[in-house]
Amino acid sequence: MNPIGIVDFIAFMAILTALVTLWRGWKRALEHDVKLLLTGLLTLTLLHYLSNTLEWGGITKALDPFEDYIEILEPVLWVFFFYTFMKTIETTERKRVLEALRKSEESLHITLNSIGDAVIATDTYGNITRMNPVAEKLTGWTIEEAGNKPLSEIVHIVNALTKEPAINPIKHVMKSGNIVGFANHTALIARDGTEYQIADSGAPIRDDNGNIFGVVLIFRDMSEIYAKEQKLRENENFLNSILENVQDGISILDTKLTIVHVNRVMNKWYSENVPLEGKKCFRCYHNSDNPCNPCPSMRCLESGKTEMDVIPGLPGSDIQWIELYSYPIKNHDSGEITGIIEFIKDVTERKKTEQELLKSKKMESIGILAGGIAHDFNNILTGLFGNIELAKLNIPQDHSSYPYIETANQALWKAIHLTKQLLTFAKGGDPIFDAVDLKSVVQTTVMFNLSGSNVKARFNMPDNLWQIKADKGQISQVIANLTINAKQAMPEGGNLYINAATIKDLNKIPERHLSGNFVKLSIRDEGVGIYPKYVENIFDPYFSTKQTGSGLGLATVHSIITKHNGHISVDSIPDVGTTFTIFLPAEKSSHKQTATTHPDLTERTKLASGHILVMDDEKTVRNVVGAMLEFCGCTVAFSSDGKDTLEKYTSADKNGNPFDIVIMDLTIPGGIGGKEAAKKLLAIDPEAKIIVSSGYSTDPVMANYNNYGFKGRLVKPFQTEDLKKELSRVMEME
Amino acid sequence: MIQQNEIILLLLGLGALIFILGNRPRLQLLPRSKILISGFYMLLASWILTILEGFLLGELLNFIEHICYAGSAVLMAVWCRQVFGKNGRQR
Repeated sequence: MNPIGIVDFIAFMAILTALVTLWRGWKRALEHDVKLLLTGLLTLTLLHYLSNTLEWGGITKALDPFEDYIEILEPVLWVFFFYTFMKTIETTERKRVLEALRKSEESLHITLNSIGDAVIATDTYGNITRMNPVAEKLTGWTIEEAGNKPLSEIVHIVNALTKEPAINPIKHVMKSGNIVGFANHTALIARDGTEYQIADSGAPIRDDNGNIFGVVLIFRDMSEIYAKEQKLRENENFLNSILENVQDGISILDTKLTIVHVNRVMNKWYSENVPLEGKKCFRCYHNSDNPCNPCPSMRCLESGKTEMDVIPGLPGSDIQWIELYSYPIKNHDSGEITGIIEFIKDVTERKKTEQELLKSKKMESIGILAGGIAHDFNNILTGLFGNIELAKLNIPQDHSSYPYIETANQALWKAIHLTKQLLTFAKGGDPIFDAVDLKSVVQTTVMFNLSGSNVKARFNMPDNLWQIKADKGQISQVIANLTINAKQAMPEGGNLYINAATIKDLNKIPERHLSGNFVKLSIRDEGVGIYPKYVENIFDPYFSTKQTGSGLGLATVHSIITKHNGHISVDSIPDVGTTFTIFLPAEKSSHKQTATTHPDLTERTKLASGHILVMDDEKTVRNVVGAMLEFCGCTVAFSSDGKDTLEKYTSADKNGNPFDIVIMDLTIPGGIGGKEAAKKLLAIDPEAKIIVSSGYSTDPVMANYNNYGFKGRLVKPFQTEDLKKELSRVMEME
Repeated sequence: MIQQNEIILLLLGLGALIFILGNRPRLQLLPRSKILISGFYMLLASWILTILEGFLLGELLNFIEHICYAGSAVLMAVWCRQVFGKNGRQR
């Protein structure tokens, strides 16, 4: 065979193979028209190569005449094939693109509708192109209504606070070309006027080349969130307000005892360590490197329960004691302790009060004991005092024993003074007012208390100084306390100036509005003085600047002066001296009485015929009082208690020898005392004249004897002169 | 000798070439377009050679002409196999 024939045969076979492949894979690919054209083209080519093969193979030239026409058709068919194929592909591609576009649009639509935020898209002119349902709901417009309308017509955004129109988001985005978040306080006014608090942002929509062809505006309804935030803020403010206005300290700790938050009070109390947050509580509150022991917060962390303790405060601060409550802060879900709330109360004052109360109770116990001793001691003194006095009266003054008796008498006076001080200390009761020669009391007391010291008393008191209406014993104690203080303030010695003057018609005393006649007494020392910061506290109970002071001295002074309706003030200059100024009410129309050293006790008055009943449980007292009365010319009977007294009084009355006066001891151990007996006696005889007698000079009955039906009183121990004067006074009463 | 039908064939072939060149970007969308278009170019070459063999190297160019026919046929077969073969759809 000719080589060309072989080549043509190969070409023929190749085309035949192509045709077979096409037929076998007819359903696999391409459009029907393309396949038909391809079939035609391949068939034509097959015929062409068949003709060539037959011709060049030397078989036959029968097909040669048709070859020219076949060849001419070939390029035409190729063009048709290409054109049809191309068109078919383009149509298919277009369909595919359109389908993809439809799916994309559908996807976009679904996505937009699924977004929880409102989405509005506009073109570059700001006309609305898209809106999702959330946007439709918030604006009150549907996309059909709002489409192609300017955004400004549909979306009205205002400042939530001022209601002024907010900036146009479209213009802003178009101008900046960036994503723009708008102000927090923006509100959307819907079509029906409903106002929604919104958070919004705008972003440009760009094509593949980066050109802006629209703006998308996204916003969400924040009304509920803002309302919750507002509520949270209000709650926070409310809690902060409580926290800051509580007058006690509040401290929040974490589980490692690190301070997380404190209130204003804590910052004030521990101002030296601020800021407290971030520091350990024991470091800030107790200047310690380790947790306290006991520490209620540590216990609270272990137990998970509220714990409490009273513990010392910051060393060196005014807060000496704190009451600390520790409350656990627990995780709501897990119950795990996440911190501690410490509630701190300054209990320094309460602690002091408790300590003072304890002291006071101790003092009260001591007072009761002292009062009992004083009472018994007064009874003994009455016996001693009366007998010595009777002895003095019964021997001449030039008797060799007289000085000894006189010395014993003076010693007894000191014993009486001591007893009275003990009683005043013990009970601090109402003063027994009497006309008192202040000059005499001051001189005696000051000299007595300065004896043996290197302090010299310098008196400046006029002779015509008015008497005062006072309890001599208590005033004496006042003078004694002030003198002792002055002496202690001048350990190296010095002068103590005591001035007194009568102040008539004093209308006003600073700090106390009193009027009338007063005696002014000032006691000035040259001592160390008192620092100004202590001056206002020196009259407080248990306040003392002295290491060994009880803190009761000046408090007692203040109490006594106040009960006397007087006034005391203090002026002090450190290292110069201190002056106490006392005003005491002067006794009306009082004149200084000249002391009678030897009263005429032999004077006989109405007493001479007096029939007196003496009631006392102490035989010694009964005997000495009886002797005194007999010395005065009275006839005396005795009784040991109230019951005995009533019997004897009734009996004497029936026998026609009634008692003129009954002297009753106020306290009868195991029997009816003076108060009860007087009540019963007055029930029998309302005209009965009863004098109360007691060593309890501070007893209210003694201070206000009239209120209990007594006509007079005798404070044990008393002298014959005192007894005589009181009996005469009562006897003369109608 | 140059025959009249060969001139017409060449002109039609050149027209087809212009069409292909003018629509080249669109024709590239066709599957395995390079093979298909290469097949056409081989066919076009044979048409040109038919004219040329009348002027010089008659036998050689005639042989080459038929080689081009065969090449074109093989490329068509390959193209059909790739498009309509078992994996044609995936391609």
